[in-house]
Amino acid sequence: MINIDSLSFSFDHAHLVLDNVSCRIEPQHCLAILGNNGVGKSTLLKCINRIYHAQQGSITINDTDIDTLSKKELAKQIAYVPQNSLATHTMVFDAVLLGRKPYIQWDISKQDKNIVTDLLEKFALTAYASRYLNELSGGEMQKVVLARAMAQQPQFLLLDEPTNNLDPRNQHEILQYVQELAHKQQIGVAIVLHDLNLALRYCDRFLLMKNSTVYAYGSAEIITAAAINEVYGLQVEIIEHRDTKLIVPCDTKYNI
Amino acid sequence: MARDSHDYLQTYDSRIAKKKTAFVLTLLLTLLAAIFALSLGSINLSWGEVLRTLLGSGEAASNTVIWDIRLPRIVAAILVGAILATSGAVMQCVLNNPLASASTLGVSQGAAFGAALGIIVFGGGVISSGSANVAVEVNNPYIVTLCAFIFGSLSTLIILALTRLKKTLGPSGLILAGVALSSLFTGGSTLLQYFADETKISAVVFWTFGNLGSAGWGEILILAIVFALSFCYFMLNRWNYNAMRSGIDTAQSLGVNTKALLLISMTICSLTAAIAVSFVGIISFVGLVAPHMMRKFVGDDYRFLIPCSAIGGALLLIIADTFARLVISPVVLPVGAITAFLGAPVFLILLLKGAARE
Repeated sequence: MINIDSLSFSFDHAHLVLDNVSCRIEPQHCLAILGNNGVGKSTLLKCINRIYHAQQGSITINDTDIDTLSKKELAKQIAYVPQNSLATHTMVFDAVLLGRKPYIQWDISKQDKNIVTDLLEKFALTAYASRYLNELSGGEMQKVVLARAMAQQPQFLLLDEPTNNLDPRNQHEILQYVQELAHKQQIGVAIVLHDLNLALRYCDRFLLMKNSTVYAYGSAEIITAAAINEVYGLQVEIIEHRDTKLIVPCDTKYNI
Repeated sequence: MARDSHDYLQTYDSRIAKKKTAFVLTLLLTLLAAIFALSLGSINLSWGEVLRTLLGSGEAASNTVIWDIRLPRIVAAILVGAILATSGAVMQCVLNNPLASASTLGVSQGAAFGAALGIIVFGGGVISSGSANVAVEVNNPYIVTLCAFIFGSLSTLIILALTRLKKTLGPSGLILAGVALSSLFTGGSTLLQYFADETKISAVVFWTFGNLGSAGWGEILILAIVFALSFCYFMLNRWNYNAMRSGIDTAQSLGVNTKALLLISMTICSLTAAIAVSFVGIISFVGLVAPHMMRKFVGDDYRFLIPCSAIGGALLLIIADTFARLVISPVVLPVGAITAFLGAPVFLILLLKGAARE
């Protein structure tokens, strides 16, 4: 389990991007990190992955402070998929193979290749193995970066808006993969999402952020019309449909 | 399914085999070019004579021609070409900029200014030989190297500061910054020359042309050590460079200390380029052309691109230098001019390609 305790972070020591944030990422669970643009969701993921160093508070992985782990050790435990992945002129096979980087000593082993092969099959990418990243569609690219993250054989997976720019089918496909990973492989997942209905459908833990801090944290009960109005400034109606909540924005005029 | 996976694993293995073949072929080609270059000149020697002399059983005349004149020149070409090309390949990766190299970022020009300062103000000298009749006393060659390094690094520092301060600078912006730095340092060199006496001016001018003949065995030893050390560092980090290519965030999440890698790599690149420049003068565009030439064969995989660039750079410089020696023999043209003629079109093509992509 990743335990985030009273985390504060700022870029310039003047204004806090994260203010006293606490939450947990548990194995087998998907945590949706929700909130407006600029509220600090991506920064939180980057702090957990130690791309940024939080000035206050602590982050522990299974009771070990992440600051005591080497970058390599951390990469074996946490995989992170950033918002934008560079579509370089790299073959899909090589791109996924790069996920083995924390384990590679001098050269890649047979085991590394086998892991990549398995992942390509799992993500239905075998037909693309010899294609270049800059020739792929958004959905295929997202599968490749997810496969690369899984090649790190992590216990925890951090995803920053993985459904951005994807068509509805690909959005569901990617999140289904992620949900499956959490449930079947006991991986702890944290996803930054903007689509509340996708979050409700595929996640079971929610972190609502407002003004750089935690507005509410817990299971689906915390997602109420009032909470969404508070966090997003959006009037919504919540409908129950086949045991799932559906969020429908009300017909309100905005003065832009 | 199992058969499928077997197939693309095989494809992967055959791709790797192709890259290895490209490496070996370039290496052989470079050896051939070196022997060819050794045999040609104002006195033409047969290949057999060249090999005999190299093995220690040549005639006295061939011994002098090969061991004292041609071999140091060609070994210098190999080492300088390898240094410039590997540093170019690494800079292109860590700055995520296909146009980066010591000469396009102003590192060479900074080093050139430093060297001019060393020669004119601090009275350092360089060994000069070859056809041009410049005889400058060797007072303290290392002051020139030191000054070259300091100002080469200054360029690097400014470039690094710019990339940090303005993250949106982009590849073309960075190169424009390099152009500005180059003009600044070239202007500085011109001013220094304006106030210097004739011997020193000719030393500086001759030296800015780029002349592989100015390196003796002592300098070659230093170049070899510098190349070996930097090459080891680059090779140890080849997977890190591969990771860097997928973006800084991804590289960090794969366990790469990107800040340290950027800083150390750029320092080593500017140090090695400055040392090369301080011994043989400005030889531009090799650092840009050689890595791109080799990318055609081995792709962007730094496991292969680093060693292949080294060999490609060596090959390119041997060819350019041999051309410079022979085209209007016995006059030896400045090799810097030849590489510039070779490099400028490549630079423009890359610029156009980049513009098309944007």
